[in-house]
Amino acid sequence: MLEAKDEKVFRILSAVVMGLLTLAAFLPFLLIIIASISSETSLVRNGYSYFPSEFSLDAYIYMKSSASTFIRAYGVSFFITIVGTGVGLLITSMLAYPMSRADFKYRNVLAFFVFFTLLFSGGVVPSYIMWTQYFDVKNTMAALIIPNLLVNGFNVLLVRNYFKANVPTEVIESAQIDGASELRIYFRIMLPLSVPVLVTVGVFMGLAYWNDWINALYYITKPQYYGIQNLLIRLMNNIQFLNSGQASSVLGAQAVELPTIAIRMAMAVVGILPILIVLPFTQKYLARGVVMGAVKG
Amino acid sequence: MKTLRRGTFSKNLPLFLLAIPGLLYFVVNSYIPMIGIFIAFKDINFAKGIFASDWIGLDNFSFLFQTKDAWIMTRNTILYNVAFIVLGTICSIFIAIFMYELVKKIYSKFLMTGLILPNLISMVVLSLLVFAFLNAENGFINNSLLAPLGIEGINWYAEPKYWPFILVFIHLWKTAGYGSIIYFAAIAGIDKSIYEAAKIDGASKIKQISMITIPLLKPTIIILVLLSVGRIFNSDFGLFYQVPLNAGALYSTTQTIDTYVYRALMQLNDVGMSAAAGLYQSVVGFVLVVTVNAIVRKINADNALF
Amino acid sequence: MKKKFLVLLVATLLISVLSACGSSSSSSSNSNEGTDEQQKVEKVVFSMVSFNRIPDDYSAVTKAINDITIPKIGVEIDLQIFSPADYSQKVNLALQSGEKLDIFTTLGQFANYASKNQLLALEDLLDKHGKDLIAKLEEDFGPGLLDSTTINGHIYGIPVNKGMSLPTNFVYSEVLLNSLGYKKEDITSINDLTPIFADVKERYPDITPFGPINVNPSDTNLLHYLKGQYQIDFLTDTNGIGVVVGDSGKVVNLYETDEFKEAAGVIREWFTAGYLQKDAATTAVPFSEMIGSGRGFSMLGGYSGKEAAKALSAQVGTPMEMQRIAPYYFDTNAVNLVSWLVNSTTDVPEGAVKFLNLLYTDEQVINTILYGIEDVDYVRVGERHIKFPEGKDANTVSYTAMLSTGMVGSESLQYQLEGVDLADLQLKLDENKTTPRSPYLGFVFDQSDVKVQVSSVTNVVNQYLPGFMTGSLDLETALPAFIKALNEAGAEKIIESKQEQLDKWISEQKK
Repeated sequence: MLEAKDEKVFRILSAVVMGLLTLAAFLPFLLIIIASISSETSLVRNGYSYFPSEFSLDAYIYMKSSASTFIRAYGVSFFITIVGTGVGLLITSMLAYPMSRADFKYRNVLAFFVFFTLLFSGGVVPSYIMWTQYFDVKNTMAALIIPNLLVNGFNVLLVRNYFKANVPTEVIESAQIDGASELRIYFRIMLPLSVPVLVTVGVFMGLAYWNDWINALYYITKPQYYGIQNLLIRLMNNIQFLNSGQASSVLGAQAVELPTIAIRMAMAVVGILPILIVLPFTQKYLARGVVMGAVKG
Repeated sequence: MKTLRRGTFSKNLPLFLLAIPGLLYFVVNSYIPMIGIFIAFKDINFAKGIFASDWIGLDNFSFLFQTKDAWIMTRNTILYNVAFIVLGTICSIFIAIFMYELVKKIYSKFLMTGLILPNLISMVVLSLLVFAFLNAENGFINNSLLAPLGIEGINWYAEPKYWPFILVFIHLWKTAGYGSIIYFAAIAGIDKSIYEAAKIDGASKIKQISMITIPLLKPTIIILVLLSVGRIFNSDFGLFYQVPLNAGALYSTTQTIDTYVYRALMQLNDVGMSAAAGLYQSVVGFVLVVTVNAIVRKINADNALF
Repeated sequence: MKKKFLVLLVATLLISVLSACGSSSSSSSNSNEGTDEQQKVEKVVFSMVSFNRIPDDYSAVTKAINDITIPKIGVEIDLQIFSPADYSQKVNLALQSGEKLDIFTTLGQFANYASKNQLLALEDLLDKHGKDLIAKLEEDFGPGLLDSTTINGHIYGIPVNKGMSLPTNFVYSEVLLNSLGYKKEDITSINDLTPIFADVKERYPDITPFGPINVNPSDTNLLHYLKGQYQIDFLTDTNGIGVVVGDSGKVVNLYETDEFKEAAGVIREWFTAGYLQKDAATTAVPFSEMIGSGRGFSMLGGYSGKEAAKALSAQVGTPMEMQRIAPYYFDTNAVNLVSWLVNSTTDVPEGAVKFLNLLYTDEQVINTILYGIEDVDYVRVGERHIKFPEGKDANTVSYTAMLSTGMVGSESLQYQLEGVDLADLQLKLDENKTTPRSPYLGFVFDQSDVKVQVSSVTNVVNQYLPGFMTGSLDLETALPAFIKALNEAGAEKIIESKQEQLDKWISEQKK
């Protein structure tokens, strides 16, 4: 296969650009990792550096004392991410399908209905009252999965658009002629042909669940339900508070010495690392969609 | 392309049933709590309870307008968002195109992770990294870039004029990769035979991109832009409050509506006023989206949001 | 394969929903356990902040407290402990949504809660059930402590009973000061510091002599110093708009006073001479860390007693000493900074006050809350001291809230960690009685008429104050600009409103 010259140039250009972007992405993260194993003294004295004057595992040692808490928190986060993303994807795409059909009478009404929720909100208090008093979700896994994160208007509209643009109406029509029910069409046609957008939305939802700490802040008081980000934010806030002047007027300078900057960096590493391990696997499915797209033609 | 006929009720019913779980979720999660919007119009007195407190009309909104900061914060919010939308869209599209070029390479998984990585770093940690770069004492820029060139170090956190560039750069760094994934998925869905045909006709790469890829991305671009326009009065709190380290000297170029409200209400802790601020942002965004959507609808009804 | 996937999803969803139902019903069955006692016993939800690690399960401590409170006052406590990160969030949500929360504390927000009618008036209940409490407060603080939480004759909160005088201290690295040949007794005022800084800078060019104790925003304790040095009453707001100097009775803008100009001028001198970092106004590194790593020398801090330097040394990692350079002054905010409050919508007002009464007077209750269960979480050493059991420390013991000593009950009844000097504790309490009090102690400003101006002014203050705090702004040009911006934001209206309210309050006091 003869590749045209400009195609080749473009490919090289792409590699260069992406290479630079990847560097721009990884270098700061590398700095974070190195800072987390630098001694606090060198951090304060010389600032952050890729070559710190002194190394120290103090930050991780400090966190080791809560190691079992971290493991449990990871468990919680993994659980809600997997369950939430799975169920959420299902509901999201089920809603997006009717909205994508040009012959569905209510498609624009639904679109407006969904979109409106992206802009208007009643605020924290009414949601809190509803979830805790009428649904009694306080201190349950449901509180981490259902409020706000399960289905999101943005994702619904993305999936709808993809369905509209990439699933030809002929395919749907011929299935209808064959007597297929809408449910069947949804499962056998829409989903398989939309792997790229489903993976994309799945990644977005997964990250949203993994990074969420707000639901836990409002609805959880028992530590066994803390997810990893929530745990990290609490620990960081506590450290910040102990180091702040507010603490000295309340506590009277009882605070203990903490390698604060290093700890913050270590916590960032701890929160991000699992994602970096899992993410490359999802790329496989995103790429698979590419192959299918080619075959479709 | 044939268009499907408008269906009868029996045709629409199964589709509607499919939609029910999602709709139910929105009713419960979003619409029922919307009752709380009325808090913006009340003077909340907890002894009387939320429902029995007095109505005070638009009083809660006045703090948003009666200050000379109102113009600055609104201007900043809008300008930053316009920059973010325009530059962000361009960057994300190009990243998606470049990324797609390399999708068959082995290292593409690595690249994809790299795209998302900046988005995973929280604003708090990011603000510390930025401080590592910009602090006047031993920051990277002053020490390792300017000093060897003989240029005197700049006190970055005291000079408002650099911050629009700094913040736009940081925002793009954090979100362009993440946003490119949507475009990537859209490109992945394009029928590859179109490109084959174009190549046979002798179209150069640049022509292929401008004549095929980008026009086919139009629906995606429009919907993303529309959704962003709806949030034009909102801002990323972490970016505008934490990254500038809450420095007072930088307010003129880093104060947005969200940071102003937060700072104002730290002392007052007033539920009605914060509800009013949120409602104000929502209404403006809403009006804008409806307007733009109507224009899009006139041009091509298919691309409209609703 | 898709069908299997779907089945798995649905199954997971069902399981998670069922387990959600399961755990919520088990929590409700727990609360039904004490039903026979419930006829005579009032349930009070007591919500507290802890800066230590909060254990997953502290029901043993709750039970220990209830073993005291149920027989003594017929009250069953539901102890809820939160970390400072989410304490105010949780309290606010509970108050706003009508959840049961009976007793809670505030970190400086007393006036806010009061103005929104979230607090229960306590004076009658205190007369009936709080006599011991009142007596104890008088004993430790002298008369009038409750004035700071009284509005229009109603008592809305009970300040924590501890040494509240926080004189401004010059906090410095002992080693460095000694090497320069100074004696700490010679340091008595802020002007004595200037030559010391000059010396530090000359001898140790790599060390920054002075820096802000807090960052984000930067705070060198300039306002704290002014309050004590010149007896300035801040009239319950921290902005500095509307203060009274001494007993003049006139409400003025702090930033227009000569006192402010003078002190800010001293710091400006320090800054231009290079005694502070160039980016002191915006740095993200607290100066204590700079000192600890050998890059800094000193800062100003407000601490009670004279032993705080010991604890600071442990925190900073290098020997620190402190020397007082300005006294303290009690205005309303200084005293009600940490107060215990009762929710205005509580269904157990009597039980709540009875418990508060115990909280201030019962040694067992106070120390159980702070240190947990004797011999499990702590071991007594002598009469008033304790230490951790063999092999355990604050992180590994099953329960401790030892860092909350500044928040709970009466300091005079608390056990202290081994090594704490009891004489210093006594000093702190004595100073409660000897520190000068503002004639306006007890005045609480109601902001509701000037909410808009306050929000505007807050933004202006946040913009300029760190600069003045660290001397980074030139007084000649920036101060007038600041004042102008303040006035444009409505500072004069706030001052007017305060003067009105203050005059009214003064005339009512005379009756």
